[in-house]
Amino acid sequence: MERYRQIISDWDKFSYYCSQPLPKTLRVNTLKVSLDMMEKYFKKLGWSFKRFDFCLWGYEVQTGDEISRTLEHWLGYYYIQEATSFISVLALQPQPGEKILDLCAAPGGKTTFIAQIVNNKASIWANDIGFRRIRALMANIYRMGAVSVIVTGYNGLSFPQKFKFDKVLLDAPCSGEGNMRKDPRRVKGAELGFINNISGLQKGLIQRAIDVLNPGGILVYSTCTLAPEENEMVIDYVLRKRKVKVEDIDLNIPYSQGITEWNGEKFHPDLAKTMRIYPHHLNSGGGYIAKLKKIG
Amino acid sequence: MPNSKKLVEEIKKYFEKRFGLSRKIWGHHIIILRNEIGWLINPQLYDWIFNIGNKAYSLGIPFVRLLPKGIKPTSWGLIFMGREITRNIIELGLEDLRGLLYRGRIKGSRDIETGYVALGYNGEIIGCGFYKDGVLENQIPKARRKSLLEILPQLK
Ligand SMILES: C[S@@+](CC[C@H](N)C(=O)[O-])C[C@H]1O[C@@H](n2cnc3c(N)ncnc32)[C@H](O)[C@@H]1O
Repeated sequence: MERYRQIISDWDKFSYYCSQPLPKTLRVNTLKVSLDMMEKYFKKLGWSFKRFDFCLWGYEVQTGDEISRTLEHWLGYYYIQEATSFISVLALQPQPGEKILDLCAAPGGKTTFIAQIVNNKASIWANDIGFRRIRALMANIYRMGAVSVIVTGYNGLSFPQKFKFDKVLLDAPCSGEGNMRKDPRRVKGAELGFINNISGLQKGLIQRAIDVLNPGGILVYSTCTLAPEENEMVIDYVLRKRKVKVEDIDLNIPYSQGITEWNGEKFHPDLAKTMRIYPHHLNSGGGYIAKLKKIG
Repeated sequence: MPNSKKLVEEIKKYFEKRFGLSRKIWGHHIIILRNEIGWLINPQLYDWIFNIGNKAYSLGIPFVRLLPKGIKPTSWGLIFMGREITRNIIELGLEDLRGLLYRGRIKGSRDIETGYVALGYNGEIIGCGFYKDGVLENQIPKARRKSLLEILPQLK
């Protein structure tokens, strides 16, 4: 992670949070249970809880219990989810009636969140290449009661172009550096060779994601890594390859702007509209979010 | 699938009669028959489903299995309907639930006609069972049964 010292202004805070355990956070699934009802369950379970400032459905809970081991979790009343991973879906602003593609969807945290926001009243297509991960995706869709979702297993690079969408979420496969609080081995950062390799895949996926958007459609690109090669450099690349523009992300959360320069290389100035989320921003993992609009 | 309209109507009637589901449910959901499964979907998915052929692994949630001997409700489907189910629920206490999950069946005569039932625990619908001649059989699929067994010690 040392190589990010130059771009992370509050480095001491960043380092401190990286070394702290993650809080227990979850998303209440209002497809199945109301927030009032869930708060009653929390009380019954003896958990204390605090709602996220930026999202009605997000909660941090305090308990010694393993939060995946309750009947309420088994029934799909909540999904265990980090605060950072709410952001890409909130940035997407899914609306009822839309056709939405989640190109790399497994295990389904974001797919089922989209279904929840639109109250199962959109057409949601969840795709992933990993067969075992797709099984987890389906189980989560069923558990959360997301009847508005279909599942396929295409390689995202060759997702059929005859289908067109109003919105696409590309939560790309990445080096996962932002998961350092879950997995301390990640604190040292990913191998550059791996980063460069996966960056090639990300550039391929984002082009296909744009190709299946309707004109005027919205793409949200997200990763859970800090590497500029997988974040700003992917967006900078696609701004040159496809007719898209960077949109502001209208969310009231703490974040750092996307960088416009790295190792002497300058990027499109609009990359400053993209978001870097560091562990100290939401007391969560790290990640990156960019919102693009396809020019018609 | 042959006679699919007729079969879908049969499924709806079955749920009405056996589980007391209101007809109103079908204003928001439709059933699509594919691969021996009746899938419960939101009507907006309809367009895609007809263009995608057999490439989809999953459509909405699996609601019933179409077996040679008839319709079998899935546990996912019954859990989804949850409190909409008003008939043929077998409420289980913790000991019964434990017995059913460990042994696959429990004995105990009940005033219920032979057939599939919704298993209830603590006011929640937790899956599907089959009742015949004083024996209740578990129909919750293996992986789900296993994960439910794991949380049993936490249940009160
Ligand atoms: C960051 S994870 C997605 C997490 C998911 N969006 C969620 O919130 O639960 C990235 C996913 O990309 C999938 N993936 C990797 N390469 C892919 C490809 N070429 N096409 C489609 N999916 C791919 C992986 O199997 C993995 O499940």
